[in-house]
Amino acid sequence: MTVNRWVMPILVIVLLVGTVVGAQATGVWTTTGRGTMSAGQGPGGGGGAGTGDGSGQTIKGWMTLTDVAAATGLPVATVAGLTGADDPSAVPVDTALSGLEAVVPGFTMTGFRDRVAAALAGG
Amino acid sequence: MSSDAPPVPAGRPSLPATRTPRAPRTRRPSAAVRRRRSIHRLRAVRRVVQLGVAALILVAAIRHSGAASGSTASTDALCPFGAVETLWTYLTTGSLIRKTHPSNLVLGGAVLASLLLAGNAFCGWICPFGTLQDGLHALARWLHIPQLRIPRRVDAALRWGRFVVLGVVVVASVETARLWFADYDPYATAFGLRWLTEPDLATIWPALLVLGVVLAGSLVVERFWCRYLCPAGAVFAVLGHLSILRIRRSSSTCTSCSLCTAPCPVGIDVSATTAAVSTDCIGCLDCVSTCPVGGALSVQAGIPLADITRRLTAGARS
Repeated sequence: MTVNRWVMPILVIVLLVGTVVGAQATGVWTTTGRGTMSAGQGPGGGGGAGTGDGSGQTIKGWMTLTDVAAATGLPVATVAGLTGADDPSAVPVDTALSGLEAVVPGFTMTGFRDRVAAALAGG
Repeated sequence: MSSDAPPVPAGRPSLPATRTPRAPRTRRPSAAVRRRRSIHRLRAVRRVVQLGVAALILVAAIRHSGAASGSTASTDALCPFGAVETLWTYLTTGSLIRKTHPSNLVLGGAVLASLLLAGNAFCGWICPFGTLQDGLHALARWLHIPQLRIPRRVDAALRWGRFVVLGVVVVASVETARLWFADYDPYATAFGLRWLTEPDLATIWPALLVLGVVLAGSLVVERFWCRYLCPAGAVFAVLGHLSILRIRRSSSTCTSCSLCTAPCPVGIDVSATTAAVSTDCIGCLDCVSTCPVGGALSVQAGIPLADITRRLTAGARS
């Protein structure tokens, strides 16, 4: 059965947009890990203190030092010290880690994750 | 002729000095004119849709690279192929691999549903990386960059590259439990804007290298990535056989003029199609609107897998 050629793209667009809108309306549409993590729960979804798989790789750039502290069970002051800043007390605890690179000289996500993992393994 | 007089194009009569009011046009435009308009209209609408989606993805990437990136979607979270990468882990463990989110599954499901129902128009109308390649092809034409003519046999062999990439990506994603392909994916590299916001060459050079090769390839082969390397295209090529709507060619009506083959962005020999056009089709519909013979090439609803069954039956008979 021949159908109008416009049916093909229109169906695809309607299905895509409709599914996304439907998913948003029902709360299924989640595009970040932020909403799925709560305090005391590892960023990787694991329960209790820890960083999910323990490697620190699941620490996200959107997290603040407070989030990391809540997720790992480490004190905020300790987490601030793991940033590698000369003066940890001056590190803003409510700034996203992705924004710390501009604030803390030499701060990298990779180095921070490694130090958190080491702190968890040692502590 | 004096030098002040405007030049008159050859074969075109000069206009009278005083214009007479134009009589209302009653004659219908010729079939060729209508066909040309139809091609232009379809392409214009497609470009608007493509650019709109690409703009949405770019806005998402810009917002994500901002300070409050945790609350906004990354380009990875807006890719339906993420569903394929995380599917095995999701089915076996109930959790998603790192850097994928429920949005990937939602988009993957939506694209699958649209593929089964309406064919693979996602690649031709929605995919922003396809849009980028279309833009590069237009640039190449504008700059008169010669296009590479790949022999049919070589082309057919190279298309298996998509399945190789798919296999590697799926295995690596399962093994590493993270979005492994994101480090190389030219879509994520181009639209994620890391090359702009975090130009750390030591980290992102493999991604930039892949992107560079793909973009260079797209300048000499239209939709280079889609034809030979896109892992999502490999999935679509297989599942496309289950699609209800497909472009079909009527061999009894077709005059084999080959006009439909020339505009195909992914190099399908449409005029040589026996029944349904290859599942490599990206649903741009350029071939359908180019066809000058009514009914020779059209979008048709049919029973999924009927073409394969017919071909297998014919093969068994012979």
